[in-house]
Amino acid sequence: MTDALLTIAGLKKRFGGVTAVDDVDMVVPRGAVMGLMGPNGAGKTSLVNLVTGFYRPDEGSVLLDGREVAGLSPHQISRRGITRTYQNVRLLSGFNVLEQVVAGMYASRKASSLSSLVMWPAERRERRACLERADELLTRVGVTERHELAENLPYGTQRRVEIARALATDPQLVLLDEPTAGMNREESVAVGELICSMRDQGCTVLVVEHNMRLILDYCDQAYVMSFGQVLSHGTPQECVDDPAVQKAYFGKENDASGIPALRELRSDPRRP
Amino acid sequence: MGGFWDQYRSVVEFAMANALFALGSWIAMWAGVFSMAGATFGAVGGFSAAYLDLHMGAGIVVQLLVGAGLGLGVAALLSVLLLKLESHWMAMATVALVLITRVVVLSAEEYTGGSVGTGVTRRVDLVTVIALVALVCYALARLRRSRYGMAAHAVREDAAVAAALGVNPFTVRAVAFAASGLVAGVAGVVLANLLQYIGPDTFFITLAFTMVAAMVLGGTYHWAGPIVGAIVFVGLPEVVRSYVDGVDELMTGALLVLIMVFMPRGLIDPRRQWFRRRASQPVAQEPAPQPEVVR
Repeated sequence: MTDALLTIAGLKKRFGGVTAVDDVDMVVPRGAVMGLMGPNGAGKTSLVNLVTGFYRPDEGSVLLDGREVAGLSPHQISRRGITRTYQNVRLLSGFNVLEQVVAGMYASRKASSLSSLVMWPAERRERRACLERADELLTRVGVTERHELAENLPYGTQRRVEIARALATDPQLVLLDEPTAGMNREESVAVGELICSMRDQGCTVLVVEHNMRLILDYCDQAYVMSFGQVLSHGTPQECVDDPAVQKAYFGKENDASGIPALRELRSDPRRP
Repeated sequence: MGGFWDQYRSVVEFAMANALFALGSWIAMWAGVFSMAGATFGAVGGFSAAYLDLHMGAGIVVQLLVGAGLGLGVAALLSVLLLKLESHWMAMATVALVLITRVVVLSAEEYTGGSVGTGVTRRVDLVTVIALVALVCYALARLRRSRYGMAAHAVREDAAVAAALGVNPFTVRAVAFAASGLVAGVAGVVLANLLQYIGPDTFFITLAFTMVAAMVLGGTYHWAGPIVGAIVFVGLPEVVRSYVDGVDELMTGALLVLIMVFMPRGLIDPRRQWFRRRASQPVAQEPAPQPEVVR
């Protein structure tokens, strides 16, 4: 487990006076399912946005497989093999379920527009191959619908379609931003199983979650963030048992002095 | 039928010319670029056709090729400049572009005839125009679910998501904008030939508005939208005019408002059920296994 796929060092992002991500170091080993927990506003999604190029970091580096990706555009980072899903599902309106997944194969499709104009046989073969592969991926994530518009599907199914779309980009690393938000226990377990099967197929997964159960049951390791900083790191159980983490989540008064950001917070009369 | 044809032949011709312009706008819209610049590219095509006709006696094929090439070239150059702007600023910039076009046409007297305008020998017939529309439709139908077509739609719906799937939104938009310039350039050649006279006001705000209105009215989510829109937009006032005089523009305006209120996605909407049922049929596949529902 020493082979690091993603290495984040000294990553920093400020928005005006707020430092959303403050000097974060993180290592995600290849083939791991890494959890990322933290209270609301801890900077988890900001971190995901930095790694995927949606935000440009102010300082620090992000290495994928030893190569710097910080500062690249989202599409370049995607082609290097990092992809993501979204906290609020973002499917593409107007595409049916199969097409959502085929849309993820943009980078790997080779046929030019010219060849699709003249119905070149290779282009037609490629189209069929894409549809077949999309079909397989959808079966793998447990979606039975194919020709329905994705926006008409139930929420849980939409999340699965989004994961299939992410897998269609042939990623090395998938960042799942709260994949079980708004799901019941049963659906969450199914997502957990899906994450494990992704790992078994060779993907490395970083799961941003509020759902502690999911992290405890399915992640190999975890990081806990609070106020933009890494608070704790270890196995999920170690993280949950860490007093600093309990402080951050439950705000035990006596111990809160250990966190500089919380000290400042206490002197802020607007916060409860 | 003969009487009808004589009466409406020119209406059909102009509807098809406008359909070409509307298709041009639609191609930009495909990748999420709301552009009125079709009037500018139309002017490039139209005045190049007039020049070729007047000075070299060039035939329609040469005119169309030159018009398409120049439209494509000018649009490609402008795309580098304009596509840095955000959506509605981009739309405003294309309006400004149309205003500038008129000034350029007025001052480049040597090539455009300035404020007097210039005459054009008519070298197109209805069949040619319809063939051109059909050609564009064929290309768009083929590209709809191609690698590029899906990327364009994705960029329009959510550029950030598209980027995370490996699509470079800037490139996709630039290609769409350049292609819209090509089609608008062709449309300009056609319009110049149909009108047989073009001046500084030919390719101005009215034309820019017409092509965008036809696109919105017909629907911006399928390539058939702008054609239907152009036919309604050009045809309806003519039909109305033959019964009641002087209310045609009022009717068009009211129609546009009604359609925008009640059919905000336009007349042709691929999301509508009847359209989808037919659209999904050619993909012959096993029916998806239905999840068992126990109630």
